[in-house]
Amino acid sequence: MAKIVSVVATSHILMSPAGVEDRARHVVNGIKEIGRRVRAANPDILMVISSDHMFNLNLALQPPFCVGVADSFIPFGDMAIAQEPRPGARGFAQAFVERSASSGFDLAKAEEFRPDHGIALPLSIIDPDRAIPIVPLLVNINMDPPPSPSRCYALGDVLRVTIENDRPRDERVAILATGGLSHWLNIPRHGEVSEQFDRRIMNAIISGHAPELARMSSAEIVEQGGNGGLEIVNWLIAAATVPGRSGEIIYYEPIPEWFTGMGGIVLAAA
Amino acid sequence: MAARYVVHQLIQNLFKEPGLLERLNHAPDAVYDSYGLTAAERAAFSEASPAALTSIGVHPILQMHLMLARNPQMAEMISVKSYTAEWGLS
Repeated sequence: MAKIVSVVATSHILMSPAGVEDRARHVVNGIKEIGRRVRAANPDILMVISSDHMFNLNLALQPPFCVGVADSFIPFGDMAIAQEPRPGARGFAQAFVERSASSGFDLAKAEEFRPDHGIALPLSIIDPDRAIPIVPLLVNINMDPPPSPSRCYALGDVLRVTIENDRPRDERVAILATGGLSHWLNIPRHGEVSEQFDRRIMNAIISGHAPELARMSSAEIVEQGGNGGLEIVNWLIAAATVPGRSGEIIYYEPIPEWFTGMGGIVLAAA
Repeated sequence: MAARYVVHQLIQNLFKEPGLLERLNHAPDAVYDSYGLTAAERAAFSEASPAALTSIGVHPILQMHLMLARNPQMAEMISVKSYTAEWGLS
């Protein structure tokens, strides 16, 4: 039985700090703190749950979920992120796909996947030395319909079972969810941020009430948190791996200049 | 109503097909012809604003792709270039 040693979540974008220097610094320092917590847990594997911004999963092929199974991953390079390779963890990825297949989830697998900013940006801060092997899980919130919050939460439970039942004893697994918080991108209300939505999401998850959020529909999330707010389903997957676990907010900043609410949480270690 | 797939296909190819963006910037009509775009679609591409692209039903994320590709200032703003060593990012 492997062990979940760290579960964290964070927004996954940075834009120019010009004019918002203090808030940008708070965000960067928050993600750095999350990174310190992850590294202190000494994980053997880091599962990274994110959406893809249609650089890999576009309209040409639209799987709801996709697992990166490769031995290494080179970032796509959007946002001028360095294209330095990170190691993968094929054995873990395959075990997750197999457990999922026997649990009602037929996941797509990707050998050729180039992580965009959704994965590469937070990792550049959380694991700057590119030392921890990663397993990317892409949640396709950009397809219609997107995977529902309840399905995402259920997949998180399958991930927990994979770790607890299918992996070597003493393997240490950290889980990082990225994306959100509220943002309306190129739809009505473009550029708005809902601090009320953002705090509701973070407070629910850090108080062990993620299942209540999982009962929301995708449409309700879009209404209250925008189309980009759908990325909180990534957080629900992470929360489902440690049901009932409490945690803390590491940082939060509403930044309309970046068209988004920025936040990060850490769930308590076991 | 969503845009026709060829509209989305053109945007998706901007980051995949070497030289396509340059051709779109310097000889757009030839590119539009090759994808069979309508007059309304051509006008929206040329304007490349959220309002214009929304009017023909371009996916919100693919709108960003096109705007980032055609607007260097926007691409500079939505990047990590400002986060130098002073910020502790590499």
